[in-house]
Amino acid sequence: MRSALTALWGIIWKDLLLEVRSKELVLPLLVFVLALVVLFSFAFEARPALVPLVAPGVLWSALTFLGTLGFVRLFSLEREQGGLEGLLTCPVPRSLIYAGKLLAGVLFLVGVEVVLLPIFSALFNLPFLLPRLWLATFLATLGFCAVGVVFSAMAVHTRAREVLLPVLFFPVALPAIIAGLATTSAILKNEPETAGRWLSLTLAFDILYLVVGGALFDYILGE
Amino acid sequence: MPSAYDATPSGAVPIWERLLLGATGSTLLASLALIFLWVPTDVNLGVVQRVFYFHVPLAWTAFLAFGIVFVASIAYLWKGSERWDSLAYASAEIGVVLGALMLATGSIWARPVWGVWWTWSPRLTTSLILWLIYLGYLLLRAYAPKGPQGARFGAVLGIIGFLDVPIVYLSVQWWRDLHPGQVIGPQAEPGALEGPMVVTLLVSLLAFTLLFASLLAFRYRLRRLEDGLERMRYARA
Amino acid sequence: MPVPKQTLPSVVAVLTPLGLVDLGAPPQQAPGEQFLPYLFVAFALVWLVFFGYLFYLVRRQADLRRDLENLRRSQAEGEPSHSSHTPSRRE
Repeated sequence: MRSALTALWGIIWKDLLLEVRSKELVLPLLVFVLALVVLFSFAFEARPALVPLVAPGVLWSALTFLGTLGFVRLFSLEREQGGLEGLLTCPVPRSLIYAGKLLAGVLFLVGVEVVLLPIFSALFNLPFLLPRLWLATFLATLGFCAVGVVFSAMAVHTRAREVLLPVLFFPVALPAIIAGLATTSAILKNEPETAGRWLSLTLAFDILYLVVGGALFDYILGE
Repeated sequence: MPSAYDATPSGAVPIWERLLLGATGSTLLASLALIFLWVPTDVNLGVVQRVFYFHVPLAWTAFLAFGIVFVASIAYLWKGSERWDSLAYASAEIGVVLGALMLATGSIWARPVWGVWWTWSPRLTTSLILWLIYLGYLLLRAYAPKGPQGARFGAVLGIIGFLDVPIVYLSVQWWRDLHPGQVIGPQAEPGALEGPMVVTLLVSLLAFTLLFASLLAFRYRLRRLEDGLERMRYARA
Repeated sequence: MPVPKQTLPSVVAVLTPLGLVDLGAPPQQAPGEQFLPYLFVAFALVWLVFFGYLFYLVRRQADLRRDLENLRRSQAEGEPSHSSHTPSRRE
């Protein structure tokens, strides 16, 4: 048990260290997602009266693109440096590799979201402290990371991977995205009961994705 | 390397497949005759209701095809036999063709009957998403490395994609329930079917299922040939 | 180009059921009769796509057979010169 945790931490630490040294992930992604939010708010005409209708869509479109780009980067680094082969030669169970990459992905995305959400609130004149919005965002992020890791591990081995990943990922991750979207929308419309219902559904999706993703990840890495 | 040859050494079609082709042809002709000559025109919807008799079978066969991809994918990951993978691929390709027709005929049906080409109802949305997932499957197979690695990728997507369907349905249903004002189009399904209509629909269902089986047998054989050739080239390179 | 007066109605009479010419709904018709073109388009589409796909499959089969023949022939010709190592590479 202890050694498993050490191995897990090792996998996460490797990605964090890489990021601290190269700074190729969190910062560019943050700037990218901010640019997206600005673009979408123009595209959807976010006038004050329309904010509760438009803001969730803006946030979740941006987060979806953020996730996709983040995964491409996260696994491209492994591929360019031959990191995956290194990981595979480690004497750790495959499910730990899945958990490690998943948690690293969640950490990076949540890192971006922690900065993004206050800015998003400010841009749309929403209250800063919406704990449920934060919770919803993190839970949905976990869900789509659970699928995202599986698909990006596939996509790094294919041609046209930057295009193929969203093509595979968007339809499959749609429930997680809808759940996040619906929670956000219910919170902005001040419907706590609906929001609670969606939060529990998000949690259920997370568990399902984690179980299925964890079970199938093994087959992607191969022998 | 037997696999390149074992399907059809001389291009001859196996006997059971000939029988299947014959059955397919005759039931298809019978269903066409029933649809256009025999079944009475729907009182409320008029002639366009006849689209129904092949839209429903198309939807059924498309879902059947994706179900077969799911089962064959599980079998492939479990047993590791290339035959399961060939079956999954063949079924996915035919499913995408049938699914495209399902969506197109559904849209053509929706326009006169509901007044819109498309509505984001749970059933329609789920069908579209499912179709997109298997379109992605074909892209993945085209861009992934050939051989067992690509086959494993495909199997994983084939499984996750199919498991995703009920979840998509559920989430879209909940999402739309909360926005009743945005639902346009049908509030209710067409009324109960009369006797001749049920008979016509059943014959059509049978005809399309047989058609699907014939196509699947053909595509499966072709896929085995493709895989065999690929392996021969690989062995020579 | 001048069109003879009497041919125009007959051309329209042929094209109308196909949905290629729309003269507006005639006054006395069965309910939903104006949607006949939809039925036609739906059927045409299904059979066009189906035969298109079948055509693609048959073409592909022919291509594969030819490739297979070529590969076999080149293998038969190339065999003697590589005989020392080719068999070991085969499955």
